Amino acid sequence: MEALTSTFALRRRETGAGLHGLHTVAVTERDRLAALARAAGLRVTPADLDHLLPAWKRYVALVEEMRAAIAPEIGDDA
Amino acid sequence: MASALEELLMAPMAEQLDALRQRRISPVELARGYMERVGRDRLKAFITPPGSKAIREARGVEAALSRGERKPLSGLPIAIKDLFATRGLRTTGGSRILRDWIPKRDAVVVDRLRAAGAVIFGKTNLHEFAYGVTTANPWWGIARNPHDPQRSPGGSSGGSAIAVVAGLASAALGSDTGGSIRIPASMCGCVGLKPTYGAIPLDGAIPLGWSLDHPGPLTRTVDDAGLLFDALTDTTTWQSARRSRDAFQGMRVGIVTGALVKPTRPIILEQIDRLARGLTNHGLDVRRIEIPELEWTVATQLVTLRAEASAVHARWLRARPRAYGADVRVRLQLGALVNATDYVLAQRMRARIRAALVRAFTGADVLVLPATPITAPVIGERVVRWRGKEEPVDGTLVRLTAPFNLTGVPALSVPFGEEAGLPIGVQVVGRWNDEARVLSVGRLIERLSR
Repeated sequence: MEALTSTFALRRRETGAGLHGLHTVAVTERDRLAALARAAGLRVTPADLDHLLPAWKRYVALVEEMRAAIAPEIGDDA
Repeated sequence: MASALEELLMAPMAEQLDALRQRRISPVELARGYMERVGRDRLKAFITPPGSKAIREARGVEAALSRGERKPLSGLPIAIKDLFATRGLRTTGGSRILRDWIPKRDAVVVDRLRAAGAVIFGKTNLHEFAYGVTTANPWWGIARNPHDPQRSPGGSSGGSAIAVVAGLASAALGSDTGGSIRIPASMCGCVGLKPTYGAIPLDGAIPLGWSLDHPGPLTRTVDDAGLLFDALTDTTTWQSARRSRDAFQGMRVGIVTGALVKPTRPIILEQIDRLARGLTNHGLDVRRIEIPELEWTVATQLVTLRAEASAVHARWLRARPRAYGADVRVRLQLGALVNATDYVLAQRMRARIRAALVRAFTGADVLVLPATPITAPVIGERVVRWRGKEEPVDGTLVRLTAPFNLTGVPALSVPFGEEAGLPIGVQVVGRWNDEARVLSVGRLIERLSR
C-alpha cells in the first residue's frame, strides 16, 4: 500500500446510485498527479504514472528553485 | 590498403568537389560508392537508406555538370535527418505515427541543398521526434556509435553523425533543440554546427520546440560545415571568411568555468587546458570566464521544451498515447502538465541567461567549453555519477549545449582528443550571427588537434 502524504484534498465519490456529495479523503502525490493528468485530458496507465511520478517530482523541485531565484517584482510589499 | 575510391569517400567535401570538377569521379560513381557502404551498415544510421531516387538525382547533376552548370555542392550526396520533409521520400520523424508520410514538398533546407547541386541521400535515424539524446529508437532501431557499437552515438541526430563518421555520405543535415547536432558530433567525432537561431529556415521541419529548434550541418571538417552553412543560408558568409587570412592575434577567448562545467570527466577538462595553451601560443588572448546564470539552464530548458513539445504533440498525445515510445511519451505527458505561469517563469530566467551572455561577450569574442561533460555512454546507461551525486544521462548530455539553444547564439562542436578511443568534442560559441568567427576558431582548433 502506498504511504499517505500529508496532502489532503476533496474528492467526489460516485456510486452506482449517483453522486453522494463531497468527502475528505487522503491522497498521495501519485493520486494528485493522476488527477492532474486526467484534467489535462491525458490517458495515463498505472505504468505511465510510475514513470511520470519521478519526472514530475524533479520538475516541481526545479520550478520551485527557479521561482525562489527570481525576485518578485510587484506586490511584494503589499 | 584503402582504394582511391574508399579514401575519397572518407575525404572532406572540398576534396570530393575537386575530384568531381576534375572528372576523376562522377556524381553517380560517388553515390554508388556510398550506397555500397550503406548496404553494409550495422549501426542503424538510416531509416530510409538512399535508393534509386538518389541515383536518378545524381544522374541529373551529372548531366548538368556536363553542360557546364556547376554549383557549390554539385554531386555531393548529403544525408538528411528524417525530421525534414523530402518531396516524394518517406519522412517519419523517427516515429510510428508518421511511418507512411510521403511529403508533397521539400523542407526549405532540403530545397536549398538541391539548389546548391547536392544529391539528397536517404533519411537518417534519430531519437523519436528528436525528443531525446540517445537515438535509441524503438521503431526504427537503436543507433550505435561507430567507435564502439555498445555505446550510444548521442542524439537526436545520431544517424546523421554516424553517416558522416562511418563514411556513408559526404555530410549530413541535423537539427538541434538542446544539443542534438553538437552532442552526436561530440560522441561520434565529427564537426557539428548549430547556427544562430533563425539563420536557417525551419519551414518543413517537424517541430520539437519552436523557440529552440535550429537546423544545421554535421561534417568531417570545419571547412565543410562552413560550405554547408553557406548553402543552407544562401549566403557566402564562410566563402568570404575562409579567403581572408585568419586574424587571431589578440582575439579574446573565454574558457567557461564554474559550477556548470565542473562536473565533467577530468580528461575532458585536461583537453580544454591543452587547447587553451595551444590558443595562447597562437597569439589569442585566453582568459577564464564564469557565467553563473548558465547554471539555470537545465531548469529553464526543461520547462520551455516540455511545454513547447507538448503543444506540438497535443492532439496525437491525447488520441494515441501508445503510438509513442515510453521515454518520449513520459516527456510529452509531463509537458502537458506545465502551466502557463511556470512557462512565463522560465522565459524570465531565459532573459537573465541571455543578458548574462551579452555581458560575457563584452569581455570575450568567443567562448570555449566542452561540448559534453562525458564521452559516449553505454547504450541503456541512465545515470552519471559525480563524486557521490547522480545526474541523469540525458541531463548530463545537454547541460553544456542547451544554454545556446535558449539564447540562440551560434555554437560549434569540434573533435579534440579522445578518452580510451572515444572522441571528445570541444565547443566554440560566438555572438549572434558571428558564424564566420566561430568557424575560423573552429578551424584553428581542428589544426591544433592534429
